[in-house]
Amino acid sequence: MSDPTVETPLPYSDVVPGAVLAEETDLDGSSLVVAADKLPELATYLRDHEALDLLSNVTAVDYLGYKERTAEDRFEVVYHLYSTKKGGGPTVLRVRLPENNPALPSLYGVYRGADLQEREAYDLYGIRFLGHPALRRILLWEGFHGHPMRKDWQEPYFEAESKPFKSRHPDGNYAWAEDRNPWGSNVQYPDDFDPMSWQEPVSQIPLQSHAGNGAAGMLKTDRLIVNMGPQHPSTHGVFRMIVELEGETITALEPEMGYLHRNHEKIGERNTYLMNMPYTDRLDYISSMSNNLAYAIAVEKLLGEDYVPPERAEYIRVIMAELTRVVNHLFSVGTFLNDLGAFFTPLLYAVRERELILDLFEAVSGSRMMCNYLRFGGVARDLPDGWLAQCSDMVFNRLPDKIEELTTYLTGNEILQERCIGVGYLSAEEAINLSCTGPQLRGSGVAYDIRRAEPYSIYDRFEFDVATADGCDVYSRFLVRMEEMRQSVRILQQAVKQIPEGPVQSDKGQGSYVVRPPVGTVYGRIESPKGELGFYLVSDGSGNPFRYRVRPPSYINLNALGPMAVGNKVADSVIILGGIDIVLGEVDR
Amino acid sequence: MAENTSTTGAAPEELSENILITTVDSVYNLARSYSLWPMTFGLACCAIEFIVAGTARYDMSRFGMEVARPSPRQADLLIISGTVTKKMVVSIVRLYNQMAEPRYVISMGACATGGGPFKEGYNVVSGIDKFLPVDVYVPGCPPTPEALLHGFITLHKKFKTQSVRTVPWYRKTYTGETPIPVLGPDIIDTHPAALKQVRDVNMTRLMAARSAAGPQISAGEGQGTIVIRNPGLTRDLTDWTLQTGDDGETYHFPAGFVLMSDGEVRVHTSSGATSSSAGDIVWPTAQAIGAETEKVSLVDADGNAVSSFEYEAITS
Ligand code: SF4
Repeated sequence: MSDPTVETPLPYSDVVPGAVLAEETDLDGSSLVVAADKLPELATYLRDHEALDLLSNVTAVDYLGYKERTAEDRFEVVYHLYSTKKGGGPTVLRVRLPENNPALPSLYGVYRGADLQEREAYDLYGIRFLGHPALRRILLWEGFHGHPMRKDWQEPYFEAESKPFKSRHPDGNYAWAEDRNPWGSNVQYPDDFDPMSWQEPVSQIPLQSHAGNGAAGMLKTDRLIVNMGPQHPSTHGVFRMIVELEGETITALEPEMGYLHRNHEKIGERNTYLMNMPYTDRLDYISSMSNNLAYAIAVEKLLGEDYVPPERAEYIRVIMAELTRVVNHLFSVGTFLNDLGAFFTPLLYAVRERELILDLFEAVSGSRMMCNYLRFGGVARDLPDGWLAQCSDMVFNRLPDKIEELTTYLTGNEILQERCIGVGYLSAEEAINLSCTGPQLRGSGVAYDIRRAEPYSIYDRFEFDVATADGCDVYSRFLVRMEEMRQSVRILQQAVKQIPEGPVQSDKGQGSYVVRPPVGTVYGRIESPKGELGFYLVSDGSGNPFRYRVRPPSYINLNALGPMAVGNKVADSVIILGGIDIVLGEVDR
Repeated sequence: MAENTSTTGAAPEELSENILITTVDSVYNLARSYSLWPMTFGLACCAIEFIVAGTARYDMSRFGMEVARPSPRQADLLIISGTVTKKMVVSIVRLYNQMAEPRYVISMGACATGGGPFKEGYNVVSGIDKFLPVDVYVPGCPPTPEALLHGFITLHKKFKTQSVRTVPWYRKTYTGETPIPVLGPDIIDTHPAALKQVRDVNMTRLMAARSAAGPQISAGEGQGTIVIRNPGLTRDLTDWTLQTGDDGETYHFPAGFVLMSDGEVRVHTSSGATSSSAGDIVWPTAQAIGAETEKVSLVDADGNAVSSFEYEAITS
């Protein structure tokens, strides 16, 4: 570090004076503490002059009870900015807010991708983003009592601040949470609540019509509001779209979610670090191994050198992550064809291959879908005998053929092309500005893949191409997925050949159930099959994460749903959604 | 086959090979159990295993149920495949009400059965059976497709125990409707009994809070005025006093003075003050309270200060 007697000027003090208040050191780099009122100005500068064009992660932290924090800086909003052009690590901005008035300017005008994440922070933390056009609750419903992620908000089944709960077995007997709650079920009401006289508030979802869209042509028709979901066969789960139509043309689309909001983050803050591993399986339940990997990488950053996985474990992780990518894309392509109307047949073929890969997962982890296989500093157990041979057979002989088979039947298919080409247009600039990642971004021609841009694990050793397609439409996203499967098979072939013998757990990681990382924050991210999956962790030195935040790629990719759908036909809205490839477990968490 | 036909006597010789004598119930139940139409409905992770149960390896068509219907009007089997959240349960109950009778519910997985790994979550309903009648529970997280198939077979077994004579859905009075919950500050079960319970518990809590709350005093409008409010239960203020801190002036409430629940009373002080409106109290003091900064307390019959405030001198 520099000589303490010489005052080094704070970064960007010459271009946006007074914006940066301090520079801090995190466990995985440094961050800038920014004055709330200067935030948009600084962000604009960073976007335009430092090429930090991707606002990847926005989250809030409630520091109530954290050491050295007072009511004056109880809340913190954290921004992670990346550059799709230069790659590399993040620039982290922190804005500290007081308890009595947690409000700051919205970044919606600078990065439109801030939209959904700011709404989430408002919903769960009650932080107000001034200037956000539609700051409404997003995961919960209008009228819900309180902001649940605040540290002083307790859920109805609250037992203790952190697990393991001592209260579970008073007098040696199991105590049911139901018995403790006065209503006998998982509810709580404010003291003055009287259900007999209570009136349901009229909830209105404002549709933002995009001006200047003359797609409906000359014909004057009535505006029609159509609701799709939350029970709809092609919304991939419990997702709801409210569509405004003129004739058959979409003039506005408003996503509505939270129907599978199962409080992953709140539960995660009560859990110990290791207890969260099986929960990550249930985020994006199609690709559980990837989720394990992202979480393991984040926690290992927190834990430091003792938990660096040995060589063999790294290879196993890469094999699992790439197999997962193939599984995910197979499923995604299969269901996408379902949405197109090719009901079930392509999915049958896709699922057949998926089943064979799931057999491999089951052999190593004991479970088909919820693998819970990775551990901090390695993997849970070594590969069983004969596993590698079976896997090699799969990646050398079977998968390449089957991917080609799918390509033959699908890629050139006239109906598929007719339905997809030109539908759901999203330009490269828009895609970046809307914080899209993964196949959605690469389908707009941006070659941004975290495996290349900021390699994690041992991805720098493998030869592969970053799949892109520049049609900017649904078809390009489909092509990217097909190509990524081929590239994954390529990585798998190299990994299966090179994998060394040796231990699969670091010495320290062996059988360590409760880890107590040092105080600090980290952000670990990987290229999951759906995009950037990140975990932002704040440790207060105890065995439970103080803040456990998941940066869910498919949730953030949904920022683009409205802009992509406007101007298309209503029938295309389902394939535009299918092209994003969402999994509700991850969207709603 | 003459000896067989002798019992019925009705079947012609040439048809006797083709006639099967059985009960209405067996035919009814056999037909029903192999033509279940599940609803295309998925909630979470378990739904993926439900989809997979329909694919080539597990092939649930073998059990006569490959016709999954997206519309509840055409379906008679609801598979709750995943975590039921409070936001979603409203729609689930509505869908259930729309389904064709006789309808069945399979609770698939730990979440649907009891909240599963997410039970403690604030937005999670700990088990769909809090709202809907469930016929078969399938354990697992997620249950494998084989387990789900076993659930179907178990449901078939349940059919065999039902008789067309006693099943409720042919009764005139039967509706089978379940009240649809609503979203308030938390999910509200609209069963009258459940509503009453919420109200009772809340009332009890409110009453407890109220009986614990004592009268409060504060400065009233205008110099020398004190307001006594009672947020708690009605109280008898016999032997209670108002006291000022410095010169120790004391006002004794008249015997039998009662302050109603939610009521308030104003006290006017000053030398020779008179009541400005009926019901107010007059406390003759040497000088109106508030001419200088002083503390006023409300003291109960046992001599404990219940409430007090500091009168800031008004310098006009
Ligand atoms: S039971 Fe398990 S697999 Fe099924 S929905 Fe719940 S968490 Fe997911």
